[in-house]
Amino acid sequence: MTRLIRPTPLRQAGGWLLSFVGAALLLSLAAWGYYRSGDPLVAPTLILSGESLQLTNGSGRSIADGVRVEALGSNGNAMVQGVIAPFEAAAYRDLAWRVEGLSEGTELRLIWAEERNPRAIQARPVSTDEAGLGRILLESDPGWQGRIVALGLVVLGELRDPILVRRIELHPRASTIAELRDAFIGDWAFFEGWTGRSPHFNRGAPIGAPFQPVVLVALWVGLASLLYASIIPPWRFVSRPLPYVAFFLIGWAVLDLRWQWDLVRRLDVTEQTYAGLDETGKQLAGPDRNFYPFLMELRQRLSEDPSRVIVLASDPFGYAAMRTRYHLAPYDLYSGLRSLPDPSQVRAGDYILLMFPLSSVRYDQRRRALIAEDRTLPVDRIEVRSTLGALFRVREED
Amino acid sequence: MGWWGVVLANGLPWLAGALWLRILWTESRPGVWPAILGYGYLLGFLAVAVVLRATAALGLPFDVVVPILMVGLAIAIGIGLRRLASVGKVSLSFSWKPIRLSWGAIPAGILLIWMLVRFLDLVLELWWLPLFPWDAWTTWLLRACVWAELGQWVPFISASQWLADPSAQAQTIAAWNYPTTVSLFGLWGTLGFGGWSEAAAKMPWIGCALALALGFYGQARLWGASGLTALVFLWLLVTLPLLDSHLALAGYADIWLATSVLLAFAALLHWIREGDWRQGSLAILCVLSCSVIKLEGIVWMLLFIPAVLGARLSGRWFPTILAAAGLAVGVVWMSGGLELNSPWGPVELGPQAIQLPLIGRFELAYHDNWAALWRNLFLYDNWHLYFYGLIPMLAWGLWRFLRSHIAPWERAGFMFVSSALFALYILFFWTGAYRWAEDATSVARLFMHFVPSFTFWALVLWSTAHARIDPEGPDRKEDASTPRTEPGDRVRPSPN
Repeated sequence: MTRLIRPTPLRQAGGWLLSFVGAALLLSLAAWGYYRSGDPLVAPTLILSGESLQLTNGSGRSIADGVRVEALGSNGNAMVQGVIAPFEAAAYRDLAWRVEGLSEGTELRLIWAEERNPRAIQARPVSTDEAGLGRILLESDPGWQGRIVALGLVVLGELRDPILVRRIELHPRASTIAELRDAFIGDWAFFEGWTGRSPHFNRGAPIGAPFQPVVLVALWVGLASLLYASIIPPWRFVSRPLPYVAFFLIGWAVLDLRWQWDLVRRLDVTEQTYAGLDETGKQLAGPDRNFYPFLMELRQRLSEDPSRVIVLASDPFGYAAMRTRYHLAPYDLYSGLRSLPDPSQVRAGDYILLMFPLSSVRYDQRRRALIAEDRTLPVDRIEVRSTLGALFRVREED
Repeated sequence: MGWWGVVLANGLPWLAGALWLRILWTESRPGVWPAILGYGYLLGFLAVAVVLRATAALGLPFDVVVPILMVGLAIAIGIGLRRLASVGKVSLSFSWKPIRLSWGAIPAGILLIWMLVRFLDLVLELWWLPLFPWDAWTTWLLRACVWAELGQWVPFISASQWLADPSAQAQTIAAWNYPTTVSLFGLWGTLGFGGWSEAAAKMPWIGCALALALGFYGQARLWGASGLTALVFLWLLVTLPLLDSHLALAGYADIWLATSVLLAFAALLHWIREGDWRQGSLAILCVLSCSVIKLEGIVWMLLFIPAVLGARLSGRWFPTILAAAGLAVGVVWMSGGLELNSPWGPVELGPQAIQLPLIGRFELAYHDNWAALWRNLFLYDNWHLYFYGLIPMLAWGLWRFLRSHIAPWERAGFMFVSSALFALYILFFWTGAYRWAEDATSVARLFMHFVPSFTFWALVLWSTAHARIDPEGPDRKEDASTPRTEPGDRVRPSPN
């Protein structure tokens, strides 16, 4: 059995530092290599195929694989356009396509239109190889500028057999180092603040962020550990877990310092919004500020006896209805109906609170009743100075 | 009473609980006081909740109950102090001997300051923010608000019952059947204030967070972990973003359940290792408390059964029991299921559905939820690197578990951790709860119930394996003639 060697302190410390720095460098290089293509930092690769291709001139049909062009139009061409949202020309450098079935005598052109002059169609002749593939660099084309609002391929000349336009692809230009840096900073400096989702999860970065902090740090810890294990392999040297634990703890500390910074920013917002206010002031400063005065007026209109309050709302379990339930506590309030309750479920003295907009119930002033599709409820209206809702009290049937 | 009342409302149960636990723990071992403070808070508040509920059942208004309860707690504290003084072995004097600091004090100090800054930040958020999270103002503290404003207990019933009964004797909310304990915690906090106050109602959440931290640290030190090791693991726990959010946005019940599960688990491991009846009593009380905090606590309570079985059964019996249980499940599955009636409601266990009384019904079908789990455990910053680190710990724990000679506590710990993970797997992959993972509304919160316990498990594994601590536990009989052992001392050679 091979006897394990105890590594010297120099080898341990040097190996650890080398792993620390080496992992960071490797990760940076890997990120640069992965994202330098430009997707998604500059722009996402646009792939137009299937339903995102439309035959706008000529005859043919859309199929699952693309657009089948069977005949040219009366003006001598067939046009296949991509269904696109406008994009900046500077973000995309090359365009590729796949068109099958082109024969001698058939000409293919790339066309596009720019936002400032949408009627001026730019056109460039393009070709395909035997497999139907083609590619063109647009970076240096003087017409490829501004904001592109239309893009497609046009078929001219002689069409002996149907052709199949399978796909048009737009590839973004390469990211610059500055863009990589800005994307990294943007992801790491992401700030969302406290939201209703905060007790459920803390996203920590924008959706689809390329530099997810947790994943990046985990990769660094993993890489550093691998490097260290390769410098001081455990099958040769006496191995302790402490260096690996140190990588883990440093990674954790980095993420936690970032979280603490996030917390400080959240606390700042909280302090500016709520510090020094009493509980009423906090409600008037918070997300309920637009309807809290209405609810407080309702409290004054409600009697002190233990009457029930039935809330009718188009979204009876939504935020507004539920906050009404909370702010009107301890009144015996129920929110769960979109229309009038059954007459057997109410009694004289109960309140009905209509939260607008609510189309299923209307008040008939002459009959002094709330009217729904299939039932009527005799009520007295209670004047409230608000357009957010209306308050009624159930009365005995006349 | 204002804010002095709030101080009394939070302090008296804590002091009473801690003092009475101190009577049980008279020895001066590292970790005793933090553990006593941690358990004392939870048990003190549970006792208050029991009394509030009992007096409510008798129809007593809260303005009568509160002063009586406060006086009762003060009397309990007084009796506790007298008994402590009469025990004789405990000195309440403070020693001014200089403390010699080692190099380990530097990282320990850094961690303490780090945690203190974090704690202050979160407490300020709790103080300044109005009641923020959804479940807090629709359920947990809404009930507390109703009771506080009315000055008396009011039952909550279902919407259909409420609509059918216009007599206005009860109120309704969507989660009307949730346990009332956490609402009573909030109620007690605001009753101390003398009326409804969101800030006062949230104060017990600060105590809960402290109970979690102190209980964790105390039990870690009692285990024999060094001060620095215990602080590092505590730091890993209390810096978790999701846990922090539940303190800042106080009002959810999850942090209470996480605390109960942790304190139960830690006490259970101690009990198994040392046979200490005090730890056993704490374990039982905390396990039972899980069932009155949240509905899922009833299921989490059952997860302690495999842990106990893992400890009690020898290596030969345990795989046999597991195989028998697996066979029983297979038979039930193949035969179409089992249905029976219990005093609490129908029970159904079958391939199509599981129905448990008080919990609910879950239709069974497989849902491929790995992407949602990946997002919530490894991509989002809910946990920093926690689950990246848990995987090698689980692998290490499994490797040790499969070896023939490990201590019963270690079998129990691994069984609890793996049972909890299995339960969560079934919940999120085989029941309708898969939607909670997809929309991320509950998945992280349910994992949070176990994360403190998982952390404690990792700590005891680490400490036992790396700090040369006797896996069989410290000497049971400790008196003045027995030299006190310190962490790091070689008490006995490790059997591993």
